[in-house]
Amino acid sequence: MSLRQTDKKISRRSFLKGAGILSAMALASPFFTSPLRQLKEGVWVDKDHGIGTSFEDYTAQDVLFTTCEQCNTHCTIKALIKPQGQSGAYTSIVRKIAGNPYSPLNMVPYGQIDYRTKIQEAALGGGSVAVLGRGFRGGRTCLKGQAGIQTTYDAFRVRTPLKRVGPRGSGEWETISWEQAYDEIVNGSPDLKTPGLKELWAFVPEEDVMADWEKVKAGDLTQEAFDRKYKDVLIDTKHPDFGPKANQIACLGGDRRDFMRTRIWEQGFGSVNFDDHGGICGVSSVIGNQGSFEGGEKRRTYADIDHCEYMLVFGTNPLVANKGPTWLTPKITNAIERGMKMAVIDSRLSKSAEKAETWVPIIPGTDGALALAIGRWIIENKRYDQRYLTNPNVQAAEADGEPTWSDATHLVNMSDERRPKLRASDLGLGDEEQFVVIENGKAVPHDQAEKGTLEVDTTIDGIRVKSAFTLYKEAVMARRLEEYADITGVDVDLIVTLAREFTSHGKKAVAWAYRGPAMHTNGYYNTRAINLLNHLLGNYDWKGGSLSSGAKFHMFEGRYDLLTVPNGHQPWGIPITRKKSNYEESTLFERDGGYPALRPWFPTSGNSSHELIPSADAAYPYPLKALFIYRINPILSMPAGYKNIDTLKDPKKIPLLVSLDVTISEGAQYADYIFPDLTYLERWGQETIYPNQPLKLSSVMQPVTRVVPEARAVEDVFIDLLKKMNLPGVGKRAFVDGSSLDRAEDFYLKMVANIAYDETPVPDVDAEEEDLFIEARKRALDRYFDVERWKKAVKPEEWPKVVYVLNRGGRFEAATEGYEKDYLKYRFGGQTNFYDENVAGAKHSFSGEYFSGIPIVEPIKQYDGELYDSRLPLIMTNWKARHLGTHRNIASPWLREIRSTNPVWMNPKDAERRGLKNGDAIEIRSDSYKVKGVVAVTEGIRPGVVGCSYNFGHFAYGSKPQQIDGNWTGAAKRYGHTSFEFSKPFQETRLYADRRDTGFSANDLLDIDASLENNAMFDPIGGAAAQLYTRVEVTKR
Amino acid sequence: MITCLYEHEENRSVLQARNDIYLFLAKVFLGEFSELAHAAQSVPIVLEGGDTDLALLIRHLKKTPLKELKLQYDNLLVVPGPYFVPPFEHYYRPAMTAEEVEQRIRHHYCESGYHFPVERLERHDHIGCELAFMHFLITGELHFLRQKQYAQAEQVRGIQRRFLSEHLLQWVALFEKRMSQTIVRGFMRDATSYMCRFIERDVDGM
Repeated sequence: MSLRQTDKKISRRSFLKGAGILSAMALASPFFTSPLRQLKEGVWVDKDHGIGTSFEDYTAQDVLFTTCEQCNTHCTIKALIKPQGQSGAYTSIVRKIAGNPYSPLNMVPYGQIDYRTKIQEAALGGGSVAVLGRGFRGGRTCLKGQAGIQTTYDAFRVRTPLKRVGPRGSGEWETISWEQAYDEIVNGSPDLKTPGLKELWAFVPEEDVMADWEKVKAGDLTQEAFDRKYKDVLIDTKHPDFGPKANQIACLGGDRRDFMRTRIWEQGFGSVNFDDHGGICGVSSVIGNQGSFEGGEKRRTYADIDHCEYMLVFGTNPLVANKGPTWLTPKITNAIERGMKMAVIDSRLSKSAEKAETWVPIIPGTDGALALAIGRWIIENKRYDQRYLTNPNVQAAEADGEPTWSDATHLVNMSDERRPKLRASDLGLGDEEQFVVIENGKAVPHDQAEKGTLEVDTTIDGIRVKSAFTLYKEAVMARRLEEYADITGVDVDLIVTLAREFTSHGKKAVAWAYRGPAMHTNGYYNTRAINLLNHLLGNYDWKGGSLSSGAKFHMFEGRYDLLTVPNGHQPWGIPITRKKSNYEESTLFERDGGYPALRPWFPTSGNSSHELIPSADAAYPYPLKALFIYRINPILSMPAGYKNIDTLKDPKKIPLLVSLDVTISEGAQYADYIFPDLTYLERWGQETIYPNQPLKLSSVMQPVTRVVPEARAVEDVFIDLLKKMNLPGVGKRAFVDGSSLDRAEDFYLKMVANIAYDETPVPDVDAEEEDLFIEARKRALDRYFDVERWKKAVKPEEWPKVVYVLNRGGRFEAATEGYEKDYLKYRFGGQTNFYDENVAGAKHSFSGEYFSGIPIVEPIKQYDGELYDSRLPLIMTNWKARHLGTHRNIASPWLREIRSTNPVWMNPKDAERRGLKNGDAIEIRSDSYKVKGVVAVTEGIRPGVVGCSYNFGHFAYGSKPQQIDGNWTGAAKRYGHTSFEFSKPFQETRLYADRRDTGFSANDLLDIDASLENNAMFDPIGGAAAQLYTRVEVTKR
Repeated sequence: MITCLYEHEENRSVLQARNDIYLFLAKVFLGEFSELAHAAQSVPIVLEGGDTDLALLIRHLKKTPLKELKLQYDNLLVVPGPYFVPPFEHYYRPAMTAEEVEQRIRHHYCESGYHFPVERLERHDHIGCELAFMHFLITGELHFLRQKQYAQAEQVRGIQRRFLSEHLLQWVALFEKRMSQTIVRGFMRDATSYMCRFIERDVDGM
């Protein structure tokens, strides 16, 4: 049937005549009330959104405290819920998120309320802002935290287990039951042809294998006999160091790592291949910090902002990013008000730089060079704390009133090519635990000296030695200040000003860095060079100095040993990412003819997760058989992540690919199966924040609502899977005390018991508070709360204390307990290292050359050591948007309303040369990729540098339709206004928000490392992806 | 304003007919086939037999399985696949950015208090929203006429005139052309063709 095409002459009246048929259809008009309101009433009326017209009070029964996970700060929050009971699919609606008033994180600057405050009072709050200067209805939380409601009630949540229809990435899915999903994961899918875990998994203890392998090498056992014995359990019998087949089952995970990595992956599966976001999150700063402090436990450095007088902030933006604006912003702005000075070293005028006394627009990737330049001036002008630096041990430090001491006077053995620190045993003076210093012209064990000699360059018993300080001095003196100025783009005068100011406040000055300087190919050296500035002052553990300690209540030990699995596997073998692995010690060194290795190895880093999928692509060192992904985006978050798509799509390279996700994200859309995960407001979890507080605190993440009935926590999924495979770590007798692990809460409630009993146990909850606890959870969780089941997870006597902690969302020390006289209460109290002998003794797997134990100036390089040589003129960097903490925040229309895209900042000088004006449409091109965007012309970025926030560029996550059971899901569209009345979860209504797929992914622009071809550049020592530097050109579209 | 009164009264039936057609077309292009197919079943055969294009469309609607209608709609107007015919005005007006098109349309919508795209989660420049807007305006005009608020009725008529000439007329022919190049036959093609020709005539009549 087709309409007539000859009716061009038909008049309008003819059209209208035929319309009579429509009156018979009686279609319902959507506009049956109050049409044309504005024309009628003559004013703008916005009743639809209910603004200012709906007020509703709440009771303490409607409040639960938990932990935010909108970004990795993990703030402590208060959730106000409205129960829905049996009437709907969801148990309650979270109406409002605020800060937890018990927690120091969310009550800056007033301080948290007394931990003993009854929950009835804390939940309701009260007090007059006018009288008290503060209210108690909830602490601060940031815009991202408040928008967490929309993460949980996202219209595009995965509701049931999904199985792909057609090839990977086809966008077509069918819903399946959990039972079917588990069966096919464990036993394989006949129709998808995916293998099952039972077929893939095999484990054998390392000792058995390697004992036989030694026999093979000695000729006492034939290779054939070895092959026969181990062919079913080893990945490769010619390379037993690859480990058992269990290693071919890998996981990329984003949180809940203690449970998932330690219990499930390592001791359950016995696989070494669990990787988290560290490799794309500045792990080089962790490695740099571990190399700067003896013992390897100190992974982060912060400043005691409340008492600091001068902060030298390298490449971090604490007012927006870092570990959260919620507490950092008021702390820093109050400190500035108090008189603290701050210099921010950043190629763009960040929010922090705006508030600073000095903005230092440095050339990206040269932070380490600037720190070495400052170090040179300090040494030349003897502005370092000589008294501190000459203390070689703890006794000397204590005698001086110093909480820490350094290795500045310790000697390094320059005659050994590995350049280790000289040991007393090398000179026959003592044992291997003792270092050596020169005191009064004689070599003595470091722990027997009162003062060491700072500058040493001599030979002892035929061994050439230098002190660590001498090596550092040589490194900083290798360049003149003018040369440093050329490298960094920072004038000599400014370098001197920074150095002088930094050394004018005694112990109350701090050099502070986070991920910015670390996410470069020279990231480890940058971090080390910045740390060594603090070493020169010896500011650790001093009030107003560098904050060092991880102050938290013990979570996994105490009442329960949660991370030891009875009869658990002892994982072994080379990780597929070659983290913490020496190429020279592997069987591949001989097979592949020594240097260069076929792909990079990371002997000094415990995380190179960006290499996991590229390694699976290359089947190096061995093929991957199964990959599980949760709460990490392997495409948008990884450097040049688009290169991972082909690997994820290829069943030959990853035969089984399972994603556990809250929406169908970019990575999930290529999976064989997608399992609906719970959002952070629906589940248990634990992520104590980093050691950035002078107090002890441990927050607890606990469920406050349930929105998707079919969703299951990642922990519960793997408890079920491991049970089906009869693997240890779950089910009966999963814990050391003989108790069972059948649900995630069995683990987490025990964790809460550990927190409650650490040191002086918390009080027992009284009957009134316990009743409130139960009632609040009945209202919030309805059928998903079984108080008797929860009680059974711990011992009866523990329950009242567990409830006490859960009611408060964690355990928090009082604000007044952070200091002891001039010192921080919680201290590092150890040795600071100028020299990192672990790194000095490790080799680059391509060149075979040793790394440097002292920070040096190193340009941006490819992995093969070649200088990164692009002819494109602009350096492009990127940063975290102030309103999007992670890529997944794009699900929030509230947040998208704030800024709909990621414009590229460009200095007016660069814009003028290119004929660009603010807002112009542009193309940004690197040597590997090109994208479209818009330009923001601003003086707030250094000429020659461009940059943008990285959190955009989605092409899934609700931005494109998917087909489930033949029905299209649709996609999040533009416009809309979030309804004030959250009466309709799973609806996404908004007015000003743009779509989810706006902007571009800055990670896609990162240049491919020519020596690798399927990964971008990274730091060979720290292992971090170099995501903050690439060369580009920008042209007008 | 006696003449105005007379003219409006005379056109009341015309207005109602226009209103019904725009509502019908809006529902078609918003993919509300369940309601359309159900409503079509209640059309008496005697009316269905009429030789107008609309009658042909209704017959089409009654005979085509709902699943087929939905499939056509999804493939043509939802899924950005090989058969995608973007149902958005900005796509056919390359001289302006999507943002500019949206701003201009939003001006019309705000002027009259039209929140339908917001409630429907649709883009402002979606063909279904623009057609629904015309239906909304005509509903308002009828309302004002019933209330004998002729000045307001005239005001609303002015918005219709401007919206038709500045927006719908500017792109529906290009939309129809792309549709006819994408699908050889079928309900959506015929509906698009009808919609395009109706709008051209409606503008003439304004």
